[in-house]
Amino acid sequence: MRKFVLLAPLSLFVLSSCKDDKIHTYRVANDAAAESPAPPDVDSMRAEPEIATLAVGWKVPEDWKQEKAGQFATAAYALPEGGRVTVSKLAGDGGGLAANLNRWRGQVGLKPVADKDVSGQPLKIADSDEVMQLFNLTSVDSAADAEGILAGILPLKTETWYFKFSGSVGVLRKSEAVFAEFLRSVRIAGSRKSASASAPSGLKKVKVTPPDGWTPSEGSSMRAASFSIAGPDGTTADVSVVPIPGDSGSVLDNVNRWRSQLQLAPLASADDPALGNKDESPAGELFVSHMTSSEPILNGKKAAMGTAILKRPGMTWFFKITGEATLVEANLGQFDAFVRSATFPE
Amino acid sequence: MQGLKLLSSLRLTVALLGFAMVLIFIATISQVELGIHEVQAKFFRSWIAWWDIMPGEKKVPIPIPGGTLLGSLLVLNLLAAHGARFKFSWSKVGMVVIHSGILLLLLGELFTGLLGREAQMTLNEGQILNYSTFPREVELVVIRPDSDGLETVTAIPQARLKDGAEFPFGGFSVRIQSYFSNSEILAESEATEAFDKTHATEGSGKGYAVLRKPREATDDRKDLTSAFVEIIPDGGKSQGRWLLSNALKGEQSFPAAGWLWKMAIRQRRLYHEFSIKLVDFSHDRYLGTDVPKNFSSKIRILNPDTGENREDLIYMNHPLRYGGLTFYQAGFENNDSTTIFQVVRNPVWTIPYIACAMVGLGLLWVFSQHLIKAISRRNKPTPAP
Repeated sequence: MRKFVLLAPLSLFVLSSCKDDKIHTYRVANDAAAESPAPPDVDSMRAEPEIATLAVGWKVPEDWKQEKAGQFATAAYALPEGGRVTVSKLAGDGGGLAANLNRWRGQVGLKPVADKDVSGQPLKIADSDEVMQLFNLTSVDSAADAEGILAGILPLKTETWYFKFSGSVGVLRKSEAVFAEFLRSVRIAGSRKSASASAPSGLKKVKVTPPDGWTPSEGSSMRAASFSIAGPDGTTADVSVVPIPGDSGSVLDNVNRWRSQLQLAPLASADDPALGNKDESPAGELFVSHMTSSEPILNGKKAAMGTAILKRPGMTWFFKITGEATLVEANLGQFDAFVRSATFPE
Repeated sequence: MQGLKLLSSLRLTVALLGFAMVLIFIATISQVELGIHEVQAKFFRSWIAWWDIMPGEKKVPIPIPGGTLLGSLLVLNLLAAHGARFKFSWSKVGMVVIHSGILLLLLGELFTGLLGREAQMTLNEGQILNYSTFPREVELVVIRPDSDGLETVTAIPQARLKDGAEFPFGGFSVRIQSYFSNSEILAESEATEAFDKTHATEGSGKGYAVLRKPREATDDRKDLTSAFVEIIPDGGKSQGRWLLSNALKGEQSFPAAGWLWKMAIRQRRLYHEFSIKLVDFSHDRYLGTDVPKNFSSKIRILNPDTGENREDLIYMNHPLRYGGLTFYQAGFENNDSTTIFQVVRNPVWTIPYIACAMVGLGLLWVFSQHLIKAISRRNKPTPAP
């Protein structure tokens, strides 16, 4: 007992002196936004405009109700049996297949899987060489009210598309076949096989007159014309002309997508003056917008974007100038003239 | 033996209890200036507490015995008393149980201080989190995004952050040039002479100036902790200076040793083995008034280890006990769309209950003994006069 009494002060001192000041190292899934983790990447946007993504299309079942898609999703639908389908796209590989899949797995209480263990069921996209990967993020013994996700991930050359059906496991099981049918309806309008079918080659030709100082750039297969503008201090701006077959969504949807890339809040309605203005050009009616980021997001400087949407029979043309704000704003006048110079050979 | 005699004396017990009363009185007064967290650390979880008798411009600190010292001495006093005078007899069982209960209560407080943690989890409706944050502690994190989609995070606790501290990583070091436990950050153009002259040359903190400030004392104000850090490759020159702060959103990236790393100062995190999703937050009011009737958070527990994927409800006086943690409904914000849980980890939370039960049983035993003696004395026949 006396020994214990003598040991007690020492043990109390040791215990009460413990401080949690150790450096810890651990591995976790990255902090991702709930739906779409990748922040707008102005550099990658400039290298490959997001507009090319509009070439991906799908057929929506008649009884699905279109919902407000939110800042990051391209489209969202409510299903009659319950559950929600969202379609979104990210630049490049979207942070990686495993990262996105693991984020979803975390949302439904499944353990993350290593990159090498990620394998989905392949679904070949019709009229294309591209393959979508299908994932079922529910376990066999999940209760009907447990949450689950069915997903299709379509990696393309410059971007990745995510088709996500989320809801309770009971709802997912009921509408599994309908969602699979929806995924089978996905088409890539600009792909090697379907381009000729969905967009007659004549419709994709444009003749534009670039101002002095603009140099033709390599661009991508989606671009009908591509230019680069060199500014002072090594800054550059990028000009692209991209044709998309069909209607290609509302002006509000397109402008909000561009605004999200500049980290600007989306506009609530098409009546907002920040949306832009209608204008006339020799080739048809234009919708012209101009937006500047509120934060320095491009090499420590603000970024800006000038856009013009020109609707022609069977084809929508997207003209865009992006880059460091000062350089873009200095070239807006020339960009306007450039857009108006467009002629379309029959 | 003289020492043991002194340590086991009843006078020491009385003196220690007297000091404890004084300590509680001073700490209660000081709470006005310092706030509850600072008071707990300064007066109750310290060996010696420096009491600022005239808080304000002129500091006159007086040393008084802190809670840790008083508690330790009380424990020793109790143990020594039993060590010096203990002899087992049934009549003393009650007293032994009472003292064991008191001892357990004192040790329970010690272990609560050592092992207990209080964090917060702030969730928007629809959001899922697998970590809580400590509102009054920050950490400097250096993050390496791995190729398998996960991240390797090295978290340096606030206690290690100080001017000149250097932390080696494979191929480079992170060096803290200046550290501010609390600060104000303003655009350089708006900064006055009082602001620190150091400036960031890289990252999103460029163009900002930092003013050193004393730590916030009150519960409703949070420290803005900041640091100017340099990235120094092994055997090379500094790659630049970054301003990190929990006032700046997001992480800042830097290339080093063949990776694109990220770093930030953020609220210290406590990761859990499970995730919590806020399904819905309800703020019920009495009909026709703004008087709150109930706050409740409908949550979903997602546990990959157990396969749990179920809903639960947390509301006032009805916390969720899960995974060794207790989630209390603590607050809400963002127009009733965000909930705040107080997340408490206290592995010894049952000790006070057990200790009180022991003291109660011991008292019952002692009183029963006295009662039996008194009854037997009364029933004893009185000798005839």
